[in-house]
Amino acid sequence: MRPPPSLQLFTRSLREDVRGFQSHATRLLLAVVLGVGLLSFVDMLGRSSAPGRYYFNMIVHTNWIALALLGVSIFSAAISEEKEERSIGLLRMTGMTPLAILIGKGLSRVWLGLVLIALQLPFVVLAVTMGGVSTSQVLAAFVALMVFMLTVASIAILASVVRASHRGASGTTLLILVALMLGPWLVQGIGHWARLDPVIELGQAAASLSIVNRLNEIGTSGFTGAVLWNRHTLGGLVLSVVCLLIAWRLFDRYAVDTENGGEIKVWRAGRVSRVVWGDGLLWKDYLYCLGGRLGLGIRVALMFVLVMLFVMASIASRSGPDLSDIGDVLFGIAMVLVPIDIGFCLSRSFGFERVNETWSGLVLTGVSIQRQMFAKVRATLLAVAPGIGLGLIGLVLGDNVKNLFDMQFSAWAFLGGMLVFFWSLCVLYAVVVRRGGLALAFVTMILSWFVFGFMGAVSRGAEGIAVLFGFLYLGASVGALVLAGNKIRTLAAN
Amino acid sequence: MSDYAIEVAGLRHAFKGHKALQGTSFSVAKQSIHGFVGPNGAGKTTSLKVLATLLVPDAGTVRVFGHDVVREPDRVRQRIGFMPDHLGMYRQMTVGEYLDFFAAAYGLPVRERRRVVGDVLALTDMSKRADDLIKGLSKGMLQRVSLARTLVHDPDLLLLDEPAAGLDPRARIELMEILRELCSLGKTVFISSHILAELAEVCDAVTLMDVGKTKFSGPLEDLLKHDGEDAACILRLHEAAPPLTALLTELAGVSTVAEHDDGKRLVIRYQREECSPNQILGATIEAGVQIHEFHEQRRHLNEAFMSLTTAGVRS
Repeated sequence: MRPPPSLQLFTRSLREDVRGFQSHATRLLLAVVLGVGLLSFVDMLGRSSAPGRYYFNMIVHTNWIALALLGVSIFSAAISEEKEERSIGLLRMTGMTPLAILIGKGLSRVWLGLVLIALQLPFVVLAVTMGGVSTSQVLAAFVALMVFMLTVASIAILASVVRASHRGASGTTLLILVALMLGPWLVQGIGHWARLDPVIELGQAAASLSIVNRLNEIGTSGFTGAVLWNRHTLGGLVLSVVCLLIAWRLFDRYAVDTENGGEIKVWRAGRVSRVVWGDGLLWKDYLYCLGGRLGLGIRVALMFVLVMLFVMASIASRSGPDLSDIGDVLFGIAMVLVPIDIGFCLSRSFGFERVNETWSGLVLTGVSIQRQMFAKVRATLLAVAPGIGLGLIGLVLGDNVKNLFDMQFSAWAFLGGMLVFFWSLCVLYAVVVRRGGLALAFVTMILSWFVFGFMGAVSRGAEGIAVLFGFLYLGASVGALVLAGNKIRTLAAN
Repeated sequence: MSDYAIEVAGLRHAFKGHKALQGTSFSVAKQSIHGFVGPNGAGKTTSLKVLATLLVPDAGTVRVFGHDVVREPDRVRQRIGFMPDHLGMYRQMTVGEYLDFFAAAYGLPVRERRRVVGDVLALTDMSKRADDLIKGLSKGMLQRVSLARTLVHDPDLLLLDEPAAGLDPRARIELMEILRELCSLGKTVFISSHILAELAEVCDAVTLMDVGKTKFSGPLEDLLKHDGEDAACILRLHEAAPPLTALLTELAGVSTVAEHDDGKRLVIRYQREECSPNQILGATIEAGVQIHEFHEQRRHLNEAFMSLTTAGVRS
């Protein structure tokens, strides 16, 4: 008997998953991360009353970030990869309905996420043995994570239906997720600023649906809430269904297999060729890999929203915002967002050449691979300039920020080495793997933090270990960049 | 100073145990159009990638205008334009931006870039499409843009990997016309294809590859003559002339003379070393016979291709 069409797609992706080295390597890496993470917490057993809860909280919060990154990098390719390969038409010709394609492609992604989450269950259950967390908390957290994964997958699938390329779908998914994370706080801020209680309550209700709130609620001691059916689960499922219904409704309109691929026309101006800058590589990387003025506008808008949130919250709590506090917050925001944004931009701009198969053309221009890589770094710095500017303003205005200059050398060495390593990994994975490089870099960083925690616990000399790790990170960064350069040479010759 | 644009000797390369090139040797004269022909998997693309400095060979010597591709890749890159078989392009750019970007990447000053982009667009007949997005172009248009890109830094040698693949007959003819024009501008064109007949009209010389080895390299004329069999001439007469058949049979080097169409058409087979078409024609004229047509019988291109290459699927 012939299996249903959606199951055929699911079977195909399972087969690809089983044959692919990358998927097994990712799962192994995750198991290693959890194992090392567990070892690093063993040291706390005698010193803390609830080592299990620390471990549990750390794992579940890492998970939602990893799932969000999976959504941005892999889930968003569900339909867009078929568009790029121009195979949607072929699937439709076999008699598959849009719903069958959506379910088939979506199911394979959800399965990937489920396997990753399920893999962690035995490790996380150990947190119960370590103390400070109950079985119902573990189960509630896993339910919340699965619902969050479904929501992210549905949003990513919708984005991949309406955008022509994986690049566009990934950017759209990221924007929607950021909006969902910040939206409730913005609504609350507006409510406080306008002194409108219903708006504040609406913001609070929306915030209670967020995964961060739910995990924080589950992670508190004495959690007695519902494990399965609660506001977060219902809200997530409703949002998932709505996204899938919209994707289904829009499928034939946007996921058509035309020469250009269907896409929502976000912006179409009369096209006239722009003059390339004197530094052509910088021009190309900034405008085409990193979004140019549109990307700049989005970053400025995001920064503005964050700053306004804080200002409104300050107005609500006191008579007015304190400039020094604003400075500290601005710097804090920049310190978190800029390194991640740099990783995102590097991953995007190196992956851009791989997707377009343009390395051979670039290598033949006679510009060395090192200079090509450096041009991408410069373009990245140009793209994240708003964030850097925000950090600098914060540095001038803030008072507490200045304490940073009193930080010990070991902390500087560790932080500096860690950031350089993260960015180098983003570059390496972007040229080595087709999708999910950023998520993989993030997971590798977590592994390195666990190893650092374990080493620190074993040696009882955190400062020395921090300096050692700082230099190890730098050494590993050089290795990662050399490997990336070699891989680029191979890509150019293929 | 070498007379050749390309000199390849004993070129070897293997991928994970598969021998893609097994001692390939050939040379390409300057300012000529040289075809590079062979069935799928013959080693054409690998050879082209070595010539383009993208792949370092396991063994052998490869020189482009006298420069070693392994030791002097930068000098080689300045003088070549490579058009790969896949059309890797920035599909989000317009045609003009794409060419302008590569001109900038090659280090051309802004003023010169504008002129050069205009020139290559005109040469490839793409001037009217300068503001079109690349992702909206047809396959033939993309091939033209890719060819234009290889020309922006005014290279002396063009390495074109299957540029006519997937094009309709009209686009093929137009592409060949562009190649002739480029050759007349002093450029050397090295063009690969797996269809010999496709290149026959445009090429001065050809290199035929099979299973990583050179099977033939030289003028196209020689390829058509190339094998151990006797050559043949066709003679068409106004009316049958039996004494002529006997006369020609007695000529030194002539093996057989076969009569067709009631003796009005003669097929004369001869050995190249001992006889020539001129001698046969001279003897016929001396015999006072009225001639309608006289030509050397050539092997068909496909015959030559089939006899020099092996059958079967290559691993």
